[in-house]
Amino acid sequence: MQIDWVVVISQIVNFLILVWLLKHFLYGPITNAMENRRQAIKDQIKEAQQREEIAEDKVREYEEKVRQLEQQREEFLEKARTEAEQNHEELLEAARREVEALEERWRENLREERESFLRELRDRMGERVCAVAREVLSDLADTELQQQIVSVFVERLGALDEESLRDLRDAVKEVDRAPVMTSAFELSAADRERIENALRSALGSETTIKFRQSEDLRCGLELSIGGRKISWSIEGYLDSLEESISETLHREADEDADTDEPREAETATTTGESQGE
Amino acid sequence: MEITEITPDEMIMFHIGELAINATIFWSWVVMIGLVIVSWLITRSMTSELEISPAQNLLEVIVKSIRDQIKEIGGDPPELYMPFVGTIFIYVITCNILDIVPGFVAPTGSISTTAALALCVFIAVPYYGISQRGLIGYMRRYVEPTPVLLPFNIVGDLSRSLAHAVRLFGNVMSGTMIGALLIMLVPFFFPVVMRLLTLLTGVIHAYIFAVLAMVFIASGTEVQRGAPEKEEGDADDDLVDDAI
Repeated sequence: MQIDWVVVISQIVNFLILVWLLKHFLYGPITNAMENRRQAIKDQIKEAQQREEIAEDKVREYEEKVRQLEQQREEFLEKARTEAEQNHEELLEAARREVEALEERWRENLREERESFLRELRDRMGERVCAVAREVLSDLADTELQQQIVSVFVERLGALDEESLRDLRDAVKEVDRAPVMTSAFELSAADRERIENALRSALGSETTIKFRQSEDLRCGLELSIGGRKISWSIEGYLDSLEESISETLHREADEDADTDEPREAETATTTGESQGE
Repeated sequence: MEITEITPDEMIMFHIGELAINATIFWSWVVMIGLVIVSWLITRSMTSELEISPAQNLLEVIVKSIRDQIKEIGGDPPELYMPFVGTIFIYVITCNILDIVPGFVAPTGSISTTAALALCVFIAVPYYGISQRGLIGYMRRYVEPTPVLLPFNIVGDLSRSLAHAVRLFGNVMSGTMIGALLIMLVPFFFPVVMRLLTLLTGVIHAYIFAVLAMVFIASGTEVQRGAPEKEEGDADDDLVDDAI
């Protein structure tokens, strides 16, 4: 084991040369390359992070937009729903009103129809009753009845109170015409005299009287002085009879209408309940 | 069989004028040229992209491993010690691996080569120490913890370097010698196993040599670690003993 110092020194030189060579051909380039790559990767990671951040921002932005759209949609839907409900309500209300109006009109028509029917019935009845009465009286009318009628007329004229008599006298004075005595039949002379006497005692002695015959009167007597009339005739009775009949019938019709009222109210409440449902 | 016959220093390959070129220097040159050519070929087409060639990947792994190792031991920054310590490792491991190639004579099997490397380390320690801590700062470690230990510190440094040189030489040489002896005694099979073992120890010793160099340098440069030098030495010795 000998140390050859020449070899030692040459090996030291060799080693130092190798150190220098490897430093230039191996460590330097490799270290640089690694450092460069490390830097590149770092840059890439940084870039990727930035991109990720941007992407996240974008995602957040879009999420926000989507959320807003969703909200808007909800609002629109809600609005549409409300409007539809409102429309529905309005339509229902209009339909209800229309139905009510129709019902009202129908009721009105019904009432009018009934009333007109009742009125007609009333009139016909009155007319018929009167016609019957007139027919009967006309058939029965004769001289005897005439005399009886004259008696009744004279009696009534005598029974007039003072005020009525004064009115009549005033009327005679005002009107410059003779009082007209209308009768259904030809009056006999005795009857004419009786009437003239009665009138003269009532109105004044100088009164002249015109006598006239009229079929319209049927049976009875009528004294007309200007606008005033004093009469006894079956017509008057018949008129009052007609009036009373029509009154009775009207009252009955009104009572019918009154009994109808609660029924309507009842139907109104039932419709109210159905609305609630 | 004489040891001298084994020493590559005795094998004269050829002469350049007066100078006799022996096997040690010749094969050293071969290894050097080989390393430089391989490095140049690979680093020539090197790229910083993410896609790299397998060869570049291999070199990067080696360089990075060396760097990490240096950093782990305490060399900071690693780039400063990288050329020196890394070259020791690469040179020694290349020589030790090529030792199994028939005809190749490992320069590390010569005490002259290992002595040269040990000398380099011996000089590198104060070189780095002074450049890092200054002359006084470096010298102070010889009188720490007390000036009484000054001679011991000096002797420790010298013996450490001597052991450094002899350790590598002894191992490589013994491996070669055992191989030669076994081939004479048992020609078949067994020498192959022994050569494999030699290969293993060769790699381990390349590692140990480089690590020890770095440890010595680190102990010379680090301010806080003046005294623990001895402990490290012991630890190194233990490590070496284990390896052997």
